[in-house]
Amino acid sequence: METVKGTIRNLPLEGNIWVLESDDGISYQLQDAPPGILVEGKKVTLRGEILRDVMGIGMAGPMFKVNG
Amino acid sequence: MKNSFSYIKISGILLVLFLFCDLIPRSHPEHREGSRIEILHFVQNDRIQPSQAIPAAKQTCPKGYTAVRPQCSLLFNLPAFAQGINENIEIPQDTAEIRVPGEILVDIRDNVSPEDLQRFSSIHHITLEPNSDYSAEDKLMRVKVAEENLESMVNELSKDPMVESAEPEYLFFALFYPNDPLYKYQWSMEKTGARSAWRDSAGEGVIVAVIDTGVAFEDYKNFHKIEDLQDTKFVQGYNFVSRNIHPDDDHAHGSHVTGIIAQSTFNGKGTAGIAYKCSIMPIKVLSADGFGRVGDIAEAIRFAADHGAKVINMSLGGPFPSSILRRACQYAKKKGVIIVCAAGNSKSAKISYPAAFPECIAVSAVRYDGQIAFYSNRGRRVDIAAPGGDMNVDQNNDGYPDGILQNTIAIKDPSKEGYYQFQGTSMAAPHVSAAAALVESLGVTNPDAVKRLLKMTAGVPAGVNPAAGYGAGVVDCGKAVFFAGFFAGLLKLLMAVAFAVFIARITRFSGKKNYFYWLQTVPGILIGASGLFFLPYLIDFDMPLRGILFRGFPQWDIFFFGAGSHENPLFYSALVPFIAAIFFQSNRFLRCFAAGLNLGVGGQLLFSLIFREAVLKYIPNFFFLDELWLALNILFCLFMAFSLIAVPMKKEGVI
Repeated sequence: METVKGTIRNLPLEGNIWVLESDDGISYQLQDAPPGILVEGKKVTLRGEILRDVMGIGMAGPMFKVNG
Repeated sequence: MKNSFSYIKISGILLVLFLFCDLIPRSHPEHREGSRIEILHFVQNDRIQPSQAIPAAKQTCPKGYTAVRPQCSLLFNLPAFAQGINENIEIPQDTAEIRVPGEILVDIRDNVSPEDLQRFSSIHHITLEPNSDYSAEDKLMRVKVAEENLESMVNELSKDPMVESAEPEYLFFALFYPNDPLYKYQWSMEKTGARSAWRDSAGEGVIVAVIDTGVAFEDYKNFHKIEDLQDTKFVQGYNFVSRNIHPDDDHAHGSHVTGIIAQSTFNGKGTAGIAYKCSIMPIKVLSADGFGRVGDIAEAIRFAADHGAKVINMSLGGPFPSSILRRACQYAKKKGVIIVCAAGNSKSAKISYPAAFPECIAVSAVRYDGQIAFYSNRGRRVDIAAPGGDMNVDQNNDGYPDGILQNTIAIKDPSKEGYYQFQGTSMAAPHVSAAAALVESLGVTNPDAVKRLLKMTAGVPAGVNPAAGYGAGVVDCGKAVFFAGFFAGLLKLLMAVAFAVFIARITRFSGKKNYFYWLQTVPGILIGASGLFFLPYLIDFDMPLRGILFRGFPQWDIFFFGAGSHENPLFYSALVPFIAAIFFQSNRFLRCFAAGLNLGVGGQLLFSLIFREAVLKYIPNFFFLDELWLALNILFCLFMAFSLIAVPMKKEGVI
């Protein structure tokens, strides 16, 4: 389980994707993000795990499965 | 010997003729700015949903095209063809629709003085405008009148002695210009030379697997087939997310990607696709939120390879390598499948997987001006670039952001559909997949050869730093098809002719009186080697039988059975020429034909031996067995050509 602190960003790529831009500059693609947090520019701290065996259309950083 | 030289001379003249005619397709036609012609048919603009609706008033002639007056000769306007201007294409709309409303084109007699011209204008109460900057001298003028007065004005002007001719202005479409009304917003089609490619190939017989979020290809439960995939061909795919045979799209991404490859084109609806005659194998591995498991993706790759796909498009990826995925890619490539992958959208030099595997073609994205798109991954490991769009800019001044426009469902809502602009390396990859399908349809089916050809023909736009890190340059379908079709055909023919010269020399069966015999081998040589490969560049007609007429015999299996069945060693052998040699002994013409067929197939086999454009199936890939197969069959073809020509001729005392 990892904790990532950063800003939610909505990228107009591949239709539309949401990423968490961490404070140390890494961009994570969010899976199972709780409703309500997907707001452009929102500062959040999320707990979850990086999925190494998942790929997607976004191709903008590792997948981050949110657990809380 | 003399006759042998005639052959060489004819081939030489042909070559020079084609080069002089400037037939090499230009993917980036020179823009003929200043055109004021309007596109009249502009339907369904209420369904366009990029960022904003397109205002109906904004109907301008697409850049790069202009109205041209009918020209009488086909063959003597070759350079004009190369620029993509032609009036002889089928335009299904009613002709009234393509007339420019309220415009008359008037050709004034050359000896009319400027004063008379002014008088002429005031008599008829009209304003004359030169048709272009160059037409002031020729006195080709354009007149604007009210639509209801057009006919009477044409009559009135025609009767004036100062007028040579007056006629309503028509908009003539450029070569193979699709009647799909939104095509003019598809700048990526022009940038990648799709129209040049359609002369010779639209991906016929090739199956392209789209491994993605699914495709809106059928009416099933809540899903429906979107309108601009109605004429697109589909083969059975699979849904690895729900484990069933309904890989329908519940996101929009997969259908958009499919549209770029094979949107129904020349159907008078929506947008166009590059390889619009190929078949799509929809495979769903990503869920509605755009994510999918590596295991499913690997399985999907194997599924596609096992079910006849020749091209796999994967507009997906992740930052971590996977050995399971790598092995699946190796498996598919070994089966002769070209795997095209998006390089990724993280603006970095570390491209995503599976694009980073050497078995795959990694595609980065560029925008309208050829610069790498802001989001695209780049660097040494990128193979090739293609338009992926940049919606922050409108460099082509069409009033819309420069995204890639295709028909797809509304995002995560399969009940609705529209025309959407997307951007991303996911949009770049399908341009390359489609280009691969186009050249596969012409017989270049070896994945390494396709990669080599696409990279060789890719172009770096002017003003762009080639070290920008997008591989060999921007994919150029027109040029790739030209090399796979025309140029390869010419080489095959020349090789067959070289064999004929060789046989003529060793049999000493030459001289003026034998010229006629050699002439009779020409049909056989053409059928065996290249077909009428040059015809697509001389006529402007989408020939339904082009899979046979314009290709040599060993490529006919693509027409009959599809590219998945190509590379059969029996087609790439002396078998059929041998059968012809046995049965065509009865008279001299048939014998010459059979000899020509042997020489032609020999030329084709020599081409394959040198360029390896196809890898033969069923022959184990060790100890150069396939090369040996080709070499032995070439020798056999030559031997048969020799026996068909020399032996009976000797008997008859000709030699």
